Amino acid sequence: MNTAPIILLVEDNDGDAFLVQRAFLKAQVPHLLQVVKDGEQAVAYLSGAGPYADRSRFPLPVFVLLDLKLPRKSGFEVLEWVRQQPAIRRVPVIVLTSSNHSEDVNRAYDSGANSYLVKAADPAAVVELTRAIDQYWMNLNRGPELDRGPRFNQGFSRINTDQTQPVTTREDDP
Amino acid sequence: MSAPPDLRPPQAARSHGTSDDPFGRVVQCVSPYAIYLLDAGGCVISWNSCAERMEGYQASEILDRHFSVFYPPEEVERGAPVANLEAARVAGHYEDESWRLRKDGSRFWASVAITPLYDRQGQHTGFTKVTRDLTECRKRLERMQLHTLQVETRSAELERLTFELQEANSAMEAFTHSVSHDLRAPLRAMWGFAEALQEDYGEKLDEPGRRYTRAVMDAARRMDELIEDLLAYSRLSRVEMELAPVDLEATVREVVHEVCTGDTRCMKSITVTAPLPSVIAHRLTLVQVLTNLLSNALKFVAPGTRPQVRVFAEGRDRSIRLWVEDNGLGIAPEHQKRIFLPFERLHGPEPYPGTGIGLAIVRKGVERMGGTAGVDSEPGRGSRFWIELPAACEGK
Repeated sequence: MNTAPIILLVEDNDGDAFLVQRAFLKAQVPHLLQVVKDGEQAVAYLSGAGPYADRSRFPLPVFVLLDLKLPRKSGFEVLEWVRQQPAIRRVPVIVLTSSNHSEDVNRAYDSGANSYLVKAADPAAVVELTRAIDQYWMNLNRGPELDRGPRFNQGFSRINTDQTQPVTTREDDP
Repeated sequence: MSAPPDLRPPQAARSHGTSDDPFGRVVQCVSPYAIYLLDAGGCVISWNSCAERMEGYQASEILDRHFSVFYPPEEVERGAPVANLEAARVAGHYEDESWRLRKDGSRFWASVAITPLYDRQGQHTGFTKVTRDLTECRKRLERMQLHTLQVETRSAELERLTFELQEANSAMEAFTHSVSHDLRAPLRAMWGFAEALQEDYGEKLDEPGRRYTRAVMDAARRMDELIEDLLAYSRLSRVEMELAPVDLEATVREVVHEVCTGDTRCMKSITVTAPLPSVIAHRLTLVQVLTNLLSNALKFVAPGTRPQVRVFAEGRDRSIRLWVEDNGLGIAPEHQKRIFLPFERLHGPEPYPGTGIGLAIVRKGVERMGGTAGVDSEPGRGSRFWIELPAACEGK
């Protein structure tokens, strides 16, 4: 039984998603990366709705890596929505975007982001970033208690082993 | 209500007023007002000398003539003179501004007040008519109105231009936003996948294959630098710069440390000659400008030459000129202007890589801070780049 925590990556660009996953591998981060491709899927995953209803297979993430420019629902909308949900409003959300604009940075913090990271083009920098994320958010940072409610109580410990291979590239295909 | 006193002069004194009677003396004193006495029918009985000047008639020509001769024909045609007298009689007073006619046919803009006169028995005897030539006044007013109109037109124009500028600015903003967002996504893929290819399949590729992969990665790196520099350049044109006194010496030392990444040997090759007086600048922009100047000075040296850079300042009438002198390749006079334009490069990427935006950033940045920049150089004898910024007051 694998108890590796889940990180939810909200990223519409397949290339970027693949490269982040690859960087997580290279940085030897021992976590599972669950990828969803747009804002609506992110909301569905986090609320355990539709295909993500089974919390044993799709547990709440320890944090969310959120792109801002997303189809269907923007990263800002997802962020604002998360902060209004009593059950998950404390989930740390780390914005990971290519926008360097102070307007976007400020709006992200105003909407409740916990951190704002800019995507680098240099693959070596991406690995560095991944390592730093792991170091800080998984090792140093003390996470909040989440009000999981009865249906969330299955927790992390019941992740199916077939989905927890060391390769952290688990696509969302419930 | 008692009737106004009869101001009518005695019959004998009917003339314009050089007479000795009190009325005559009064009316002579009040130019620029033309004052007439009309009988009940509107014929001129008496007038003052100002009226003579204003209308251009001699007294003899006008006495006993109907006052409608002062009106332009179209006014006479529509019965204005009689109607005005009637209005004055009915209301007790009549005032009006309109065109009047001189003897020579020229027109003047007149302010006219007509008041009916009554004798002691309350019998209507005639009118006083006071006329003032307001032509100049009207011209002034028209000029003022024209001026106001021009000012309004111009401020509308200014408003439009401001609006257009804001539009252009936000279009520019959107453009750079899109550049940083959208242009970078394929670049990340290019670079990232080329690296993945090299790492995961490098052993399966032969030497040319590995070389091609490296070429893709190098191109991606250059493009990343280009985008970064372009964004920095465009940010320079858009960003509001708050200027304040900046400690030039501390800033230069900070930048020296930065461009040498702390390397002692590199830092020793840059001599900073104190004092460097404080200047009025935007600190971050100044850092950017100095970084570009110093890294250029270190970069463009002949192969095998150890760079020697000298930084010193010179006070010039309320401004400070900072020199960055190197022992590098030097720049021919015909190239000295265009090296400050974006994307201008004098060298191929080997052995002097770069985007060609560095000096454009220097010039743009210094100009945005109210200064100037230039170069003094000869090929083979090094370059002396300078920037000039307003001096900060002593002790501040």
